Amino acid sequence: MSVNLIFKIAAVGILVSILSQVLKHSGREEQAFLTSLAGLILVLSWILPYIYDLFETIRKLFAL
Amino acid sequence: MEMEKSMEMIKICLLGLSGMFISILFKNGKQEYSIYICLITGVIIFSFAIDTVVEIKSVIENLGNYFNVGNQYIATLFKMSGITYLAEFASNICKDAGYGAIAGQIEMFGKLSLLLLSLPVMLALLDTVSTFLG
Repeated sequence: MSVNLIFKIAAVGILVSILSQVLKHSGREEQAFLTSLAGLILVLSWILPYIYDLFETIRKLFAL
Repeated sequence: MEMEKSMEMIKICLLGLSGMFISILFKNGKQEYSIYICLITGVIIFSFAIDTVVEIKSVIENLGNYFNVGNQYIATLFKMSGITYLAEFASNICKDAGYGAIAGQIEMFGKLSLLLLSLPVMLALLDTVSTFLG
């Protein structure tokens, strides 16, 4: 449960937005879309374990 | 204990504000990253709150043992607060993202499951009342 995860996600977001801008201006629309999709999936793979842990803890804590 | 609690409170506020500022950065650019950051900040803040909830739970269980109130009612109480917390967290995230319809569905489902959970307690109350009235 680290705080630097927020900054990692922010870094990926900035990188992807810059990359997609560059790709858009150089005329390669689909690569821009693919990079933003890749960034999205990368961040999702980081976030999913934390969300799973949250729901697991809540399930155990409140005996759901 | 109080000093440490207030220090932790300040840490939580700063964490929430920094998460909010970072997610605003992506508000007009990439929308999905602002939702990601808002979601993960909520998860991290709740992870700090978990040990407080565990303490509260043990205190309430001790109280229950004193008055030997039916333990299943306390368990139902905790189940209800768990469901409420989850439904509210998910629906607020959906509202932040701008999708009020999904948030409404989640809340409706949460209310229905709460109602279902509270039915046995109400029946038990009616039974005790009817035994009194004879």
